[in-house]
Amino acid sequence: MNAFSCEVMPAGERFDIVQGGKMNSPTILMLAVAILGVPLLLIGYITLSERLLGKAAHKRSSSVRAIFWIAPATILLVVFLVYPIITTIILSMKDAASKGYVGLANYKYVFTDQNMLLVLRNNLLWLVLFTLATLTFGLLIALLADRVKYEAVAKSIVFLPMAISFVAAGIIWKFMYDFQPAGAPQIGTVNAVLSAVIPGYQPQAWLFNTATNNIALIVVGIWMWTGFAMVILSAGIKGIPTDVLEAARIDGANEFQIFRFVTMPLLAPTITVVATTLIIDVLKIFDIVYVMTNGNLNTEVIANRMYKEMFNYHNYGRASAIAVILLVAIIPVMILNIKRFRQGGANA
Amino acid sequence: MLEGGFSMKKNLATVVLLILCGAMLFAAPAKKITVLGVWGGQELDVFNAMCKAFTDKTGIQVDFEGTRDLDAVITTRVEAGNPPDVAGLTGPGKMIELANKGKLADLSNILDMNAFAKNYAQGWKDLGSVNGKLYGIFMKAAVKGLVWYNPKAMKAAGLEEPKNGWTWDDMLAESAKIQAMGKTPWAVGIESGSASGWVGTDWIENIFLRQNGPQMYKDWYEGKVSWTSPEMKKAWQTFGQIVADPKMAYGGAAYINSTNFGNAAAPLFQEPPQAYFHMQASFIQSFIMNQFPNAKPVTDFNFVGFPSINPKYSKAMEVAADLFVAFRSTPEVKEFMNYIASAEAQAFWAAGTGGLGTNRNVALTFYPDALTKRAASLLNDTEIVVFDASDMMKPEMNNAFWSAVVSYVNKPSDLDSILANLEKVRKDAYK
Repeated sequence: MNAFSCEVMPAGERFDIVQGGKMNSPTILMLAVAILGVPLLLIGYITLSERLLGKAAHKRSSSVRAIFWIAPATILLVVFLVYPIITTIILSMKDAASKGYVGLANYKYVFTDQNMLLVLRNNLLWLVLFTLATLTFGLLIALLADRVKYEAVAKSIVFLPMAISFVAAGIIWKFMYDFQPAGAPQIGTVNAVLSAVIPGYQPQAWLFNTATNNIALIVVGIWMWTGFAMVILSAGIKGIPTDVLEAARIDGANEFQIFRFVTMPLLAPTITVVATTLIIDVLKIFDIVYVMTNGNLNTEVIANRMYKEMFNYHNYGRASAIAVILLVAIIPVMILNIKRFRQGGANA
Repeated sequence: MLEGGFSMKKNLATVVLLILCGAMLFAAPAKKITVLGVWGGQELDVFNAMCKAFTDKTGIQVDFEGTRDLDAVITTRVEAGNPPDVAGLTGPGKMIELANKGKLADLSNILDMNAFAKNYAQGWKDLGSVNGKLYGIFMKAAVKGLVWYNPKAMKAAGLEEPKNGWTWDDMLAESAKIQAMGKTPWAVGIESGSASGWVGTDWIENIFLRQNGPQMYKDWYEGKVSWTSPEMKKAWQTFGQIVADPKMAYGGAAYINSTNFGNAAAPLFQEPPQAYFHMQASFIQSFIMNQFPNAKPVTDFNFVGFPSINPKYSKAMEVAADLFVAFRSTPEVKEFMNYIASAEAQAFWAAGTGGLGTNRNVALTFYPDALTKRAASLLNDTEIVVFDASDMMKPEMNNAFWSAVVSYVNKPSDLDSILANLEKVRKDAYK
């Protein structure tokens, strides 16, 4: 089931898959080497470098020591992140089989092809609707749950979907959205409930109607991620000092005013962190669409398209171009996120 | 002396450790092959039974790895330099691609070619060859484009059972009769996960074949026929006579697109029946019998050939089959591939899944019932055999074709823009 668990990765990384590691040779031995060998290697490396430094002149050793100590991390970073990114960028300027250079033709394709534009539009739709709705619901539940006795239970229930994989959630929701013609017994929860509640209701094929299918998919994403937003925001709310709230009450502020002028400003950094995390997640959204519609009827998103170009069509050029665009789109959000994290650290 | 003793001990320990390591390295059983395929459930049981007979005979273990997304997994493993020994593919398209990249073993060095020529029809050899070299052995074939019906339900409704050799017009006339009774004639369902739409491509292929003949059909899957040509459009519109009309297909577009192909025949067997005809390959029999365990072949469900359109091509038949390819030519692989090609191995699929053998010597007695036997003899006797066209196309063309069917069912009035989009993909893929 490799494809189902496939994490979306820059196309260039395909060259980094370790050659020929056949798992049928004694796996335990390999495991032992990995578990014991890697730490031993590191200890050996540090000991050796310290010994070398001991011999070197005292004055210069501190700066040289720094280089020695950060070298392993830097090398790993270069091998596993920098090199694949550079390879991907190079591949994105080559043809389908990565032979000749084609300049920016792949990028031109991504930004002019009608199907690709539709894909970009869908990602935008996901970005706006998913992020706003998840944040709103997460905040609402965090605020409401804060005031009740059974808070832990309520929060656990909302958080539960986070424990399921996207694929499982996709399959569950496929059943939820199931369609049977009017008159036949409705086995899909959504249509069954609506038929029971609304007289004369016509069952809808939610996933196969271009007016509803993107929304139907986004709902699944919101259902899964609201719990995440809620947990982080709830922690943020708990972090607001009670004396500030009490001071506001004494000054005669009502609950809405407290929320608007005290809670919200103090919660802003947390909201930003949650929002940026959600944006990064939504830009990579893949599994839900793959399982539920496979991008049919105008539901395709960037990651699905990249997967198809890469693994089905073997067009490494286009797949890499899409990967690069995705990377570039995520970078500003990343920077914002890291900045916020640093500020959060400084506050605490 | 004392020091020497110590170092001797140390040396001994090293030697013991080395031997242990060596033993662990070589302890793995020597004879074994790895097979990658798509099978699960009942098909996997049959595959395992087939492999067990092989292991009992040769002592070679078969390690099977299954995936529903074979294309992607094979691509990744081949690129990583770690292909399986043998893979079971679902169509020749992937085989052609791999063979052209030089990744596959030439089977003429592996198989007993005299026996192969004797046991297999030339057609199967041609389909398994690329540039004159044999790379694939077909097994578990299915006849596509059969029209299934429920004889009891038809009798109860006072309808005549369709007969082989019926025409598209006969079918429309019979459909009109059913509509006059206030019922829908056809049950269609094309949902199939990441391959949704393929049932519709089967429809269009069968129509196209019977309208334009095998030569143009071949040109089509080789990317030489424009999707915007009048022939192409006519084939889609003929398909549209069924799926674009909610009075013709049960539940209309929403039902067709959201119903999995495996459950799509169900309306024929409901009480009262919601539909009377269902087009699907011979393998649907096992789905029907799983879903309705009391249904008996011939009496409760039966099939006729696809209605003929142009009488010149009425004897044409579309087939599909799984095939095995080898990535290495080790002695173990050699034994396995020869076994796969044998009637003995293929009989497992015939008996277990109703899959039709491609080896001529799979005796008709292996087939579980009269209906499968009939499909098998149909396959042996037919004049024009063509392979499922979409499986022969380039993957991006095939994928676009699947999706296009889903879009067409959803909104038939978009046909022109759907075909224009397919034409764009063709120009891009076959340049």
